[in-house]
Amino acid sequence: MPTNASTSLSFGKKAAELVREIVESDPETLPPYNADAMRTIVEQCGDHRAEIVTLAPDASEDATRVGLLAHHQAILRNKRAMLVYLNERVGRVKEMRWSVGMGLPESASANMSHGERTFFTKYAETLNEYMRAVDLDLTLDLEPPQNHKIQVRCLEDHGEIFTRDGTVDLKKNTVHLLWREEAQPLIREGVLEQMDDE
Amino acid sequence: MLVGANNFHYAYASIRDEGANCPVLIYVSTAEVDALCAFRTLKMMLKSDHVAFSAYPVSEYDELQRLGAEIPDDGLQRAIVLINCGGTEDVRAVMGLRKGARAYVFDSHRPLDLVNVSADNQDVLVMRDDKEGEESFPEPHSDDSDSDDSSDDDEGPESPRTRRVRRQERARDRAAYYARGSFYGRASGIIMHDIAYKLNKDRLENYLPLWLAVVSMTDQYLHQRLSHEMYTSCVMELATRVSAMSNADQPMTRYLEDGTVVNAFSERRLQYNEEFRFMLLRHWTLYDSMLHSNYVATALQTWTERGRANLNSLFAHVGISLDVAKQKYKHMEPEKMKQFEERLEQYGSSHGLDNVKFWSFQYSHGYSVKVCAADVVYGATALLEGLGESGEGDGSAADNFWRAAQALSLGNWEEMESGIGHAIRLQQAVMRQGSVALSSSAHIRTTGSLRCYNLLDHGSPADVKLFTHPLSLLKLALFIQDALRLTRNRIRPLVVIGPSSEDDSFALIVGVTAKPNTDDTSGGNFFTYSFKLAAERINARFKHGSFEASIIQVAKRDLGQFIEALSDIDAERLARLRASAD
Repeated sequence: MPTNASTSLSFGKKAAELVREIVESDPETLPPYNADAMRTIVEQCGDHRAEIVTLAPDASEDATRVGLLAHHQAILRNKRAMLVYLNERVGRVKEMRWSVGMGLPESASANMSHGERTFFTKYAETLNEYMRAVDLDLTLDLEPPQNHKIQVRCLEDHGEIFTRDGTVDLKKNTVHLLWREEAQPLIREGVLEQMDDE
Repeated sequence: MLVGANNFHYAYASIRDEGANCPVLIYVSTAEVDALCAFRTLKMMLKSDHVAFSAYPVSEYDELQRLGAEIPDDGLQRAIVLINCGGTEDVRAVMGLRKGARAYVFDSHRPLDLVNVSADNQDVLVMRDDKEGEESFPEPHSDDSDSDDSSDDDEGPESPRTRRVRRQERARDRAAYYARGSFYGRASGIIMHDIAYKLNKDRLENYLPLWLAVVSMTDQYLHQRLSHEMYTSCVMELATRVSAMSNADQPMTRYLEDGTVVNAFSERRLQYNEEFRFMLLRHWTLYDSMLHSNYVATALQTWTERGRANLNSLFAHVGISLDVAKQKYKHMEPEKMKQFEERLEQYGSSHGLDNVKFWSFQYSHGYSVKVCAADVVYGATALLEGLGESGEGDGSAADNFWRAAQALSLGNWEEMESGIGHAIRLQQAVMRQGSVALSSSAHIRTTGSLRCYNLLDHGSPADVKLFTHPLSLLKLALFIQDALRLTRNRIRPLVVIGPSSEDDSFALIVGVTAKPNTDDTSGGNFFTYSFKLAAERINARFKHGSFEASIIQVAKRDLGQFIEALSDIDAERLARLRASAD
């Protein structure tokens, strides 16, 4: 009754390794997509199915029924493990849109599967569409800010900038209250310095 | 035009509304702590309303003019706020106000420029509290065109002759208005607090506007810009607000279970209490604090041997050994201090110390921070003066301004403590140089009706460089004048010459009058007027652009002539006074 295919069957062992691989990796990174393991597990599911098909005619015997159940459970377990793997990866791909932004670095892109790359593009598009609709850059502050305007002191003569509130002349040693998102890039450049005097 | 106390908050509302079009432009004087406090409160209010602003620290009229020319001419409704500057000059002309721009002037300098005050001038709004008293403002202009409008309310046509007479009359009124010299009105910091109070914004940042108002008021008082009567009434006014604070009635002490009394933790608490007129007592030793306070130094004449002996004998009378008095105040036993306070009341007056205390405010936070308003004024002023530049900043007035601003916020005590340290060093120098000036009658020259002390000739070089800031030199001048007031029979105006910060060939000159220039009843500081006149008369090279008009910089080679011209002008002034008295 056992067939020659049984050697490739691991009854979910391979799938468990896949889950362990993603769980043990650094949650900030996206490890390379393990296409080999995925393919192997899918093949294993096919083998289990073949086993079931061969065993099915003798289902009246108790021992055969136990075998059927074991193969079926193995398929379900493999499926669940693969979904866990994919779901975790999708979560990290989404996270990248918020932390890295639109431009995906080459290293991250290389680690993605084709499907994940498509997902990333589509997800970014949807997010952009939403942000356009509400007229707000949601990726700017991941934590909701206390104030939407911040007080900055100008460290060098920078000249005029155009803000939502109007023209602001950034001269050395002047202090301004600006929109957070408009001031942030200049703070990063070192033109402005945030002033906290509360 | 003028805005009265009842309408201050409308002025703010209008600033806020115009701020929705384009950022509010704030020009704030770097010359005193009051400006700093007023700016801080305004900033807090604008921030709470999410109004964008840009703030420019300015130190002289040239700078204001330059910045005014840079304001874009886009026809937008733009609010321009001037803090402790602009009031005494025609703002429209200085700033070159364009269409749509409107200036809001918070300036404690007086007399106000008549063009600013004029009701026709809708572009310039000058805040003036009615508590300053009635004042009549003469018409600003008397050119031929406006005499046509004014003839409307008269009956019948005017002859050219009467028109000329009226014109002359008005010109005379104007001259008299300005000739009074400079004096001071309500502190801008208090006006800002009035606005915050009216708009329920006085609780921002734990009642910070109220504390800043207290600091503003104390700043004016310590620099002799506020008469004792005005000070007392201001203190009463602010004291009511302090006692209305939400944490005012929390107990100062708590009882533990076993009955021991401990200080209660109190967060950011303001208190109204009596303070000694000693300099920075909490940060110094009792002995030094007394020795270096203007009040004790002038009353006991501590620059003489006898004066020092007198101070030592006072300590003997109150039963405090000099060793105890010379240890850090913080480390003194509280019982000793209590004993000192009680006995001083008894023996003080025999040593000439009568009103040794004054009503003031103190601020405490937690267990470690406890300062009185005067300490903060001295500390912040020292930072404004740019004493002890750490090498981090560029030492410009604007840079010092922001350092002082940081120190003034209640969370930054390190900066404030360094400011207080510099204030101590400056006060030591004031006392040393003041003593040198007073020790010999040859040092202070009398020229006509004036007295003149030249720090450049008599001061020790190590100290002289501390006096490049007008406020520092003014402190010295006020101390010498206070001392002369008690020791000489005749009180004359005093001119003190010190070093210039920018240019070595120039000298900085400050003038203090016989009486303090606290309000217009005591007579203003006429040096405002005579400094410029004297410099022009002798064609000296001079700089007279500071917001404090009783300060001038004159080329050193012209100094001798300048002082002579100044004394001539003063003689003319006295002659005029005598003539009008007859």
